[in-house]
Amino acid sequence: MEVCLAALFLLSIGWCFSLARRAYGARSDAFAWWVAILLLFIVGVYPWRDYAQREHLLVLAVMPYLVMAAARLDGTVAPVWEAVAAGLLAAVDSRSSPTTCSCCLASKCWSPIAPGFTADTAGAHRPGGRGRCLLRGGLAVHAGLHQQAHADPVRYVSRLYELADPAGRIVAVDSQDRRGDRRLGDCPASAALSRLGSLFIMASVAATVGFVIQHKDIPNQFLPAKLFIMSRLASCSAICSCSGRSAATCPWLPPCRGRDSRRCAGRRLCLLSLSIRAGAHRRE
Amino acid sequence: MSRGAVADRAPRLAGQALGLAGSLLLPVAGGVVLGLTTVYFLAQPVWGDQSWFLYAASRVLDGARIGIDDLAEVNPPLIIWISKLPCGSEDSPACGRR
Repeated sequence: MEVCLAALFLLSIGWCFSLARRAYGARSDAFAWWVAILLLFIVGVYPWRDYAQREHLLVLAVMPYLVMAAARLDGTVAPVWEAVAAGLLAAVDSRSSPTTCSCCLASKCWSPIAPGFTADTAGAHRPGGRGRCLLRGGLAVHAGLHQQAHADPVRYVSRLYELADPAGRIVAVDSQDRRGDRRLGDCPASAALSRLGSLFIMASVAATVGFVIQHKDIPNQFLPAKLFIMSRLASCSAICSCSGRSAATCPWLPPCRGRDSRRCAGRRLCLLSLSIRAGAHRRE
Repeated sequence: MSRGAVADRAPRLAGQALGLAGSLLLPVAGGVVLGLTTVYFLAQPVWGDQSWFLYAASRVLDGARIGIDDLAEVNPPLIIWISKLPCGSEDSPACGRR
């Protein structure tokens, strides 16, 4: 068991590191190392008592998918085989619990309307429609592996739409991709919102919705929402940590310098420590 | 050394100290997080759901069928299939298959 979990840790963190490093070539080494360290803290240290729970496995499996989606928003398109592998990993693991598939769906639905979505970014989406392929592949895997899908397909589909409302908007989002290019093509390049951070926020919101829908109030089912929001804070901290070097070394997040830097870093650290404190309190 | 020279050197030294601290921050933070992860990984608490899924996976490997008859389980079967991986070997202690 430990070997399998360690392998998943290595795969997930290593893949995220590789993606963050490739996004801006050799210039983003510091950023990539910070991302790897902070993600390791978030998936390796914080959820100690929930190790290998389905929710923990979900976060490990979905993380490369989210980082790849953020890199795509920045115009870095991963090779097809890698995109398919990340999508399958996320889709297969999302399937371990019925409501967690909403994390991937939410990030996919958010991508075309994200602040960083410009004409160039849209161009990165277009060849082959890889994002759409991934999502459809994920849904196919979802349907293929669900017991109810075989026993009662009509009820299964209606329940899927009921549980993961974004699924109903997939077709609409796909058909709006081109219109989205024009509508958002004029977005200022300095849209000072984090692409990676916004994707994490959407995944966190989706995980929270999944938690609420289940009506079980089991704390570990809220774990993905907490871990995704912590990842968003961690990505902010990563940019603050390397913003002193140069803006180019820190993609995805707005640089913060001088007094603002100290203020925003302090605020983020406070939020991070509050999250950790809340988790520790729960364990007691 | 004159007071002016000291005043000139102070900001430079402070800058060098800050630079050194900044360059050490990444490896130190990385080492601490890696160490904590390793310790937590080796000292895992008693598992809840995971124990059941590992047990269910070992039963499935022994020929039980997921459903009502052999193994009452309402969760989607994928997590049990995934749990078969650590239970693959005959003497896997994770699944009690000694």
